[in-house]
Amino acid sequence: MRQWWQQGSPWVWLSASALLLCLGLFMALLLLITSKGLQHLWPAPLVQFQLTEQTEPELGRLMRRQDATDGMDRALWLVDRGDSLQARDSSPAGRYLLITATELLPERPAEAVLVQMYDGRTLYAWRQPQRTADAFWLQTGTGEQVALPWEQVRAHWLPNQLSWWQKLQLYLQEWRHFLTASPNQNPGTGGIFPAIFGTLVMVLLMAVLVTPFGILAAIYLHEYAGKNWLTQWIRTSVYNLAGIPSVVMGVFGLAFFVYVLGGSLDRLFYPDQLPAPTFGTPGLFWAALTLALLTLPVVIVATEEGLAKLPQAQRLGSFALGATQAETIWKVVVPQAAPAMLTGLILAVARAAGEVAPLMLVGVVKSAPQLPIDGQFPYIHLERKFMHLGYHLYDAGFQNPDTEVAISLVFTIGLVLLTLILLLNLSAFLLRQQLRRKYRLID
Amino acid sequence: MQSKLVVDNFSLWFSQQQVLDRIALQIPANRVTALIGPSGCGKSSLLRAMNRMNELMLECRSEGDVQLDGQSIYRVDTDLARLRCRVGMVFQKPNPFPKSVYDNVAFGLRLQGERSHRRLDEQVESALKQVGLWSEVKQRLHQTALSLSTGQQQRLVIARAIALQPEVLLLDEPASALDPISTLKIEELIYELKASYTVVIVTHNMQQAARISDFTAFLNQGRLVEWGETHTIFTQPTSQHTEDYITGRFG
Repeated sequence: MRQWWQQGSPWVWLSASALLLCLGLFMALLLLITSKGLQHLWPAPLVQFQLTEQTEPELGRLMRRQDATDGMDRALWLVDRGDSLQARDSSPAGRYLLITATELLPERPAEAVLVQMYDGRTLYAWRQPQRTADAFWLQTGTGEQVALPWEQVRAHWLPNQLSWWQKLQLYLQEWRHFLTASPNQNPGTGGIFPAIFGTLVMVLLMAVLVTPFGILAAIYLHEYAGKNWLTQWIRTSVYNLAGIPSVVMGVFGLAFFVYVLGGSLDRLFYPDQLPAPTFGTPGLFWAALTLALLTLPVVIVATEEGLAKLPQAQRLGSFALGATQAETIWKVVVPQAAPAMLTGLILAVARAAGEVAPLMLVGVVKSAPQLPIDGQFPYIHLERKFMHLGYHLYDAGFQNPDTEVAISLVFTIGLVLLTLILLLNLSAFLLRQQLRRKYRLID
Repeated sequence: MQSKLVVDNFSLWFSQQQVLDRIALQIPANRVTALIGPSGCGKSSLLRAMNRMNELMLECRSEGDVQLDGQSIYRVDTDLARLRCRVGMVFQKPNPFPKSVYDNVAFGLRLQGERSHRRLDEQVESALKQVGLWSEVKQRLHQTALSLSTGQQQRLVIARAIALQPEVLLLDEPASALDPISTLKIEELIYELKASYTVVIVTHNMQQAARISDFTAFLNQGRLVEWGETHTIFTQPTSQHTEDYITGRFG
């Protein structure tokens, strides 16, 4: 035991367990987001329940089991009754119901149908045998028969009759809808395409803005600037810039980019439209610029590290062949430091795609009717407000009156955001590997 | 005998430390001149003074002059890129660029503005033939130069330097990182090169200096102790220091 202690084994175990703990937490995070996020769109069965002997049975979807509270020994179930056909804006209060286990009927009706409507409502009803070309016949919970015009129906299925394979197909179809459709008034059934698109466009624009600036700044700092206290001081300051809270950057972006720069642009180029602002209001370009500023230190630091790693012999070799400093930098230094620059870009993209706080000040909105890129001249509308996955997650999850849907929706949007960042990083990573193979550094 | 390079009372300081002290030396044209001396004696700095590479490395200050064909290279208006094309340099460790063999040799030519594929091909081939690498690499001209062996890489960087057809070739311990066989090839190469170029070589290896050089300069602690024909230096050195060094008693 004493020997075990003296040989330093406890440190091995301590550090290994710290690593294990970190890995465990990461795994837990991924597992939770993935499992919860993937559940949201899986077709759930419909159940019947009867509140009193006199009333007709109703259809609903079991949400979760509520634990018995004080004084009640029976377990309670929370059921989702769906939206009603009459009231256009069904409040979530009337949608959910707590029932006791005895009120739940054991039989799951085969004719129970789930209807997704284009306006975002979800109906649970019984399918009626009569079919017509223009309408879908249903019997609602109150017993009346209605004909629903087909053009209002986005999708419908019989949840209790589905085989596993059909469920999978439906699941994929619903995912496709979720990823490609626009949101509607009901956040639980709408899509998130504008948010994905907005995030992607904003991040790419940010990358386009931050990369040249960051790389050029790093090149000056490392290749041209003299090695003295001033350079060192500037370098330290740049490193510290990375620590500025993002919301402060947002405030700066709003005050400087939007009001000062945007306001000036409006006065110069769009005076006829004032006082309605064109660029003097939060928008895509200002958001990208703010995030570019936020991630600039990351790119500078990573690029400089790459430049510092390049052997001096490479530079001298180039100089000895009659290259000027500029030729040396562009033909020898930059190509070999390119993988490091891409590393900086990966870090910047990962940081930017996840930022929400500054964006709320400089351009992200809850719902943007128009995409920032469309078929209208000039095709890329940098001044438009846009939707963002991170903000959409916050909005759908925490500004949503329907808390039951919000819980699973948050995980689903989180999963999409995570996947998006992963894909962006993966593409940059593959590009970097390609470059590394090409410009393998000399040991 | 004509002097290609004249080092005229040249002194050099790195920040505060003096590394060369009033060196006066003449480098004869189309001969091999060896710079020998113990570590830290300033022989590499003297070599780098001949194409002004010192000023790339550290804060440095110099006095005195170096003349190439009678023209001072330390004038303010000297075109450094042009100078380094005329005075090529090869370093101790081979430093090929992570490009193809061909692109390495063509690097300097392209910087000179050579765009014609035919002429590039010719000059690359001729440079590789001069260093005796052509037969070894002609099948893989477009593979990365890093796949060559260390000895081949060193010959490649010599080819890269002579592709520019310099007048002077500065070699900074070109064989010290190589195995005996590669060293032998480099030495043979140097022997052949002196027909067309003026060669200055820094070496730690006394036998090497004796074998390949026509003239030898012995430096110690930043001073030129003596210089002359290699044969004279190695058989009848005037200075006791030189004798001690070349017989291995110090250094």
